[in-house]
Amino acid sequence: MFELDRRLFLKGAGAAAVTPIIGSLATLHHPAHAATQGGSIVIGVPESFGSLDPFRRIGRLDYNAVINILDTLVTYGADSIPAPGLAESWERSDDLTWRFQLRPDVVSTDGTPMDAEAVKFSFDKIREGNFASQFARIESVDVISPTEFEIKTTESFPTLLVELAQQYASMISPAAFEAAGDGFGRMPIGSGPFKIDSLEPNSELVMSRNENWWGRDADGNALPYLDSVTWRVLPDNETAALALQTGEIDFLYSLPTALAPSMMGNSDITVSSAPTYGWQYMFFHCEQPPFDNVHVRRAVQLAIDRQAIADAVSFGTAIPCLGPITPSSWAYDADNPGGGFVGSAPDLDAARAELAEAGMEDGFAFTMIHPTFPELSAMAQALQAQLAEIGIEVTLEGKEIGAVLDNLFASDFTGLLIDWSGRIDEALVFGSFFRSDGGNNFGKFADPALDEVIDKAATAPTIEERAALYQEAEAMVMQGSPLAWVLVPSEIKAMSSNVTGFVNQGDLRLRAWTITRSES
Amino acid sequence: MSARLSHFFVTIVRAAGNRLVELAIVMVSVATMVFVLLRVVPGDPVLILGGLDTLDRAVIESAREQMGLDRSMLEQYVIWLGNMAIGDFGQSLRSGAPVSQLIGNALPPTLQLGIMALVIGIALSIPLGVAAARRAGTATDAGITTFSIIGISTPPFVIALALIYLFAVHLRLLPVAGYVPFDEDPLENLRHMALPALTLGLVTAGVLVRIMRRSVIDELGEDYVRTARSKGVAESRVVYGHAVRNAALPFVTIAGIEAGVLLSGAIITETIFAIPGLGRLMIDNINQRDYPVVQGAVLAVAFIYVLINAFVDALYRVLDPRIRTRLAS
Repeated sequence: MFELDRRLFLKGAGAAAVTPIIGSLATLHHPAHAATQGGSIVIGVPESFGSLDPFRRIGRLDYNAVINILDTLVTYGADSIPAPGLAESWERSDDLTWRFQLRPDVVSTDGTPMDAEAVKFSFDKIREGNFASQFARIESVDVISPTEFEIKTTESFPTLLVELAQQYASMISPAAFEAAGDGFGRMPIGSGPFKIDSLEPNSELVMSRNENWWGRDADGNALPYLDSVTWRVLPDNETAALALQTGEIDFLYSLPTALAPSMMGNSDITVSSAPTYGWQYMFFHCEQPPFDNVHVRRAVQLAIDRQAIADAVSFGTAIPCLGPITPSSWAYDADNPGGGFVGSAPDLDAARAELAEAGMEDGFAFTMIHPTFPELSAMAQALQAQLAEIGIEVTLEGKEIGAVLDNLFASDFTGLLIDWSGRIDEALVFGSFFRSDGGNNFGKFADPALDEVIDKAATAPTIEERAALYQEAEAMVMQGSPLAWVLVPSEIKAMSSNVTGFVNQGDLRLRAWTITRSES
Repeated sequence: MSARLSHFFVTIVRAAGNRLVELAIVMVSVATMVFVLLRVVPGDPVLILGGLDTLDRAVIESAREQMGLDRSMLEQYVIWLGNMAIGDFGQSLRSGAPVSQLIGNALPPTLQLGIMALVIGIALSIPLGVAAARRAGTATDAGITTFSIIGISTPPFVIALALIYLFAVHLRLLPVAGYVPFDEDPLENLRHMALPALTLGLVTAGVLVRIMRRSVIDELGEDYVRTARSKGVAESRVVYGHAVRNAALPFVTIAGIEAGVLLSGAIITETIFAIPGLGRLMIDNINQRDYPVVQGAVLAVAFIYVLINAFVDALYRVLDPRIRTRLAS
């Protein structure tokens, strides 16, 4: 069975041929088996756990566990707009002051009140952790009453709410933190939907329902539905898929694209796929020849046959990426994605014209570094073949991911193919990748005019104004082509057909509290 | 007599002392090599952790400092060796968990799997090897040799997947993968260990059958066998009492090497069957460049090898009186 959780339908091959497609809103608000309480599921995960300390730099699997155990002040729903979390409401009294109202009477699973004092304590720990720099603009956090606090910033901090929704801004039980010392990462305690029962990092994480959690479904039923969730480490993809078929596990944390088609044909298994906010893309080194010439970069972008790669490499699970704003984003312009600069099909005439403009009618040669993951290796080979059409000779240099990241971080490459998970708010995308001083701007792209639009977009007051400004910025980005976008990968999860209610938001987060399980 | 006895003990003690010095030299050399090699290999633990999710420089630097990676390599090496001298193997960069605890948790499944596989391998290879040797050149021999070649040359993951398809997916007799500690539920533990142990056991048997067959064939051609036969000793006694006993020496040597391979963590088998053993611990943390964990795990493996070698040496003395006498005189 194939289930689609987002408003988007999948353009890929195969998907249409496979059985019923369930609309997203139905899944979101009315779980198919009217909110079965109780039961447990086993989730198969592909790697061992590291630390579950939210304030450390931790891996993706680790923070997926964290978001099920710890609350954040702000959350975001499927529409990717900030929504109440532990904080019931907030107001911005002036540009530098935010006042938050907390949900009353929330307690951590160890009995410690989750009040304004606990929030202030959590902020102290956040600002001692690896992500302190994300909150450097916070001047103070002041307790007004047990359910009210105020954040003062040194300068305007328009993306505060987005940052507060990240796992590194989790709220914790001060008593538990003090008691655990260095061990908090092995036994994190807060007020989230589940509480942690045990963690064997190389084999199993078990969590059980927090009966006092504040979350409710659309009908007012208490969340989560499940009594317990076990995350079992199954490092081999093939075995994990087999374990799902035999019923040893109920849910596959990530289904490799290569296994997706066979799973979609299995009536005992539901495959959930949603486009992510991320990209598979190539960095250009914008300060070194040949890519210091914008026309050369544009020529590469224009020559890529994205649809062909989507069909061949991702088995129809991914969609062509036509610009940095992906279809899942509130800033996406469905009528004119990416400012219309590139399409799903290549425009070889335009690409040749750009090459001619750069004085390289006969093409040129460059080396593309890529990680040796099967999907990216196949993509690199496809790009090599496609670019050869306009005389660009690509030498491929496949490397282990650790070595690729070394090259990337040192800006030591000419072209570098990689993927990225994406961010739910465009401020964190544009500011990081395209601002001249951005943290992920490894190709050293610089456009002062673009920087101004990016800053304006981050501070604009309404979401509509911000969306318009990001679309303007996106068009400028495409003209400058600091990256060559290829595909928007999908988040693909597989589950046994008696597991329902999982909402796939495409943000690579597994929220176990909406999942139900019916016996059968 | 008492002079000879005390001489014997002095020899034993001296041998043990030599072993300890050797052990220390091996361990320090391994420690130094693994430390240097890990840092020569490209890849940065901080970057790999979380990948491209956040490459904000301030976050990276903060994490690097927390992990102690902002110190110079020499400084890190000296701190690490110094701490090890007082029994502290350091902490995982990724999780902060003590390395000794991670290794301690990974050892039982690996040892259990290794021993089970070894028992299966030996139990299969002695009768098969002897049978092949006694019927050398016949169809039985060809069949057994073919089994042995298949065992040696088939990659463990193919054997593993074939066994999973048969026993877990098709017959639904055993679980596909996973691990349950023995003290938690012995039966479930054995059900989960059966397929991985069989996988490794078949590979091991493949190697050992060949050794057993070859050695027994050699021994059966020796003069003493002819003598025994001419004295009218029963054939089964000739084979098992004389030939197999003498064939045991090369067999034990190879079995010891195989035991080292098995007990140091079968990376692929442990990965396929999701067994949280030493092999998995190593490969996971090599991928993550979690230096202290890999260093600790490699040292643990080196230590196991040294122990097994010592054990095999001791076994020689039991099996072959000539070695015992040579040592004592």
